[in-house]
Amino acid sequence: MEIQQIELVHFRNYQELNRSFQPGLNIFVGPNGQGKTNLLEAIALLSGSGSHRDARDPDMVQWQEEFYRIKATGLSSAHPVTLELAYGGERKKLARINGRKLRRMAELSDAINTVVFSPEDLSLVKGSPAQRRRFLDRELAQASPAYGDVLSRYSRLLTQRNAILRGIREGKAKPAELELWDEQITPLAVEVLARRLDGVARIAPHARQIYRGLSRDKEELELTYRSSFSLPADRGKWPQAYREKLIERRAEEIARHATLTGPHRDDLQLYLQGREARLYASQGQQRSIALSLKLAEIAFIQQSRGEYPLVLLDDVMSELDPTRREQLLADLDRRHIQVFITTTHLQAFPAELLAKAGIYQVQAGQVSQRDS
Amino acid sequence: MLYYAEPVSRLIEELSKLPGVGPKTAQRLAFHLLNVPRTEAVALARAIVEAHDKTLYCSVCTNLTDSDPCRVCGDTNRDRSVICVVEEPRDVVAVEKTREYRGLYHVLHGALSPIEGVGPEQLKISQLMTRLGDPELREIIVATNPTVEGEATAAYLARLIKPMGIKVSRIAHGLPVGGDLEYADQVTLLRAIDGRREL
Repeated sequence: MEIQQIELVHFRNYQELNRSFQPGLNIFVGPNGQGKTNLLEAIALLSGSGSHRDARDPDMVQWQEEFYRIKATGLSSAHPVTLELAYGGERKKLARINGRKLRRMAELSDAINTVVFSPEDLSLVKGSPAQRRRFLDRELAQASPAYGDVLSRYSRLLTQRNAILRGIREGKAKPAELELWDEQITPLAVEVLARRLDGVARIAPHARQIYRGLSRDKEELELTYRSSFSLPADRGKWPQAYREKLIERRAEEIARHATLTGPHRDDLQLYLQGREARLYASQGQQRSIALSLKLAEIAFIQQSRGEYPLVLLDDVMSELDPTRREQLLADLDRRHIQVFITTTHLQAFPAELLAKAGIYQVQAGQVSQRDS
Repeated sequence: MLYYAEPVSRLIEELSKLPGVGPKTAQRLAFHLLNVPRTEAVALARAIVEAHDKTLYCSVCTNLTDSDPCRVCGDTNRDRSVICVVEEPRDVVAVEKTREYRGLYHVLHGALSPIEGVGPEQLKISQLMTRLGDPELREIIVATNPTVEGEATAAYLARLIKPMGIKVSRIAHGLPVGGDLEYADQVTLLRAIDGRREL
């Protein structure tokens, strides 16, 4: 995918914007609070995965306006494509690909995929298991829209099941009702699990290879998916194993009115030289791991969609040391990936890349192209 | 601060309690109602009160009705061997519009949803159970919505009714008829593939 032009109306601090971009590197430069990240956010929204800042739609509408609209034209698998996303007004939220109205926002990922790399991602290694699960989920949802549906049904069932557990504890629900929800949640828990395991198996080789490059062949990165219950070798036996675990922990679940087993309690574990990175990796190593995971995600999407995603680098340049920065940019450049970067200054970039990059000055909701 | 005369703001407040009506729509509706002739306003008010006073729940199928038993339950030409179980009265209307289904109905008035405090006792399930003794009855069609809650309700009914030797079936979900496969969203298509049947 490549975005050639974008139009924003009443989006964040943009009253109206019409801007064209170039195929490779696009750099948004300017002081903080001028709207650089808002541009990346608009592009991320077009890929159907929601705001990378977890913002709600009403918060993205320009102050005192009623709606926002984002429109982009570009190439998807070498075909011209027009994407539109609008929020507000009578029909509330609307997305279109080439004028065809979509039933689900997630369908936008048919035409465009994005990988966002922001400073929070640098804490992927040290951060909570939830953060690592989110990384996996986002990636899997981009590769397969059906995964998003499975995941949302799973979390809905989880909420319902937890309500039953609370009800039992308070004497309002019968334990027999719990069995019904166990029966409902089991196939979805197993499906989320199976898809995540397959996903990890597919990104692990990429991440390992990329990390080897970053560490100059000195260190090995391993990814393993840790399930909250032990998985029999035969996948057909997973539902039964899951049900048994639920029964085993039932008393504890009722006491804590929370579901304690299932993919929502799992973790993506990272090992460096056989030792858990969360505990033993240095700051620099953690950054390299985070970078490897993101680059592996790009490779994974390319493999499953047959096309590279757009890469959005939100303020990460200053967080990486010069070596990693240059490796990252060179890697993206080599694969002809369209990249959008926000930065407060241009010193961080190698001159030969700046020479071929599109550079845009962002100032109070205005974006103007400038020479490097 | 009071922006509108008291009766007007009270009207707006009442209207904004309606489902799907926000404060702005409520305002627009209120001003529309103030602009129509008084007779129309009275007609609307009467219709609301009358609908309230003259409707009741059918003692057999619990659907909304103005007579008990309702027209469907009282119709001797209907097929008494099959009952279609739905969540809401509006679902009965949807199935009736097909003009093909000739069986009876049962309205649950909701679906199982622990987070909203809806368990089996809050639904009209016991009324359904009393109908199962009818010797003519052969099949229950569960037509609850294809949501997480609708599916759980369907599973619950199947568990309850199957041991009694009555056939329980679930409506299929999948592609809209006449729709092109390429325009179906992947989720619908995937579920249609999951629910495929042998030819």
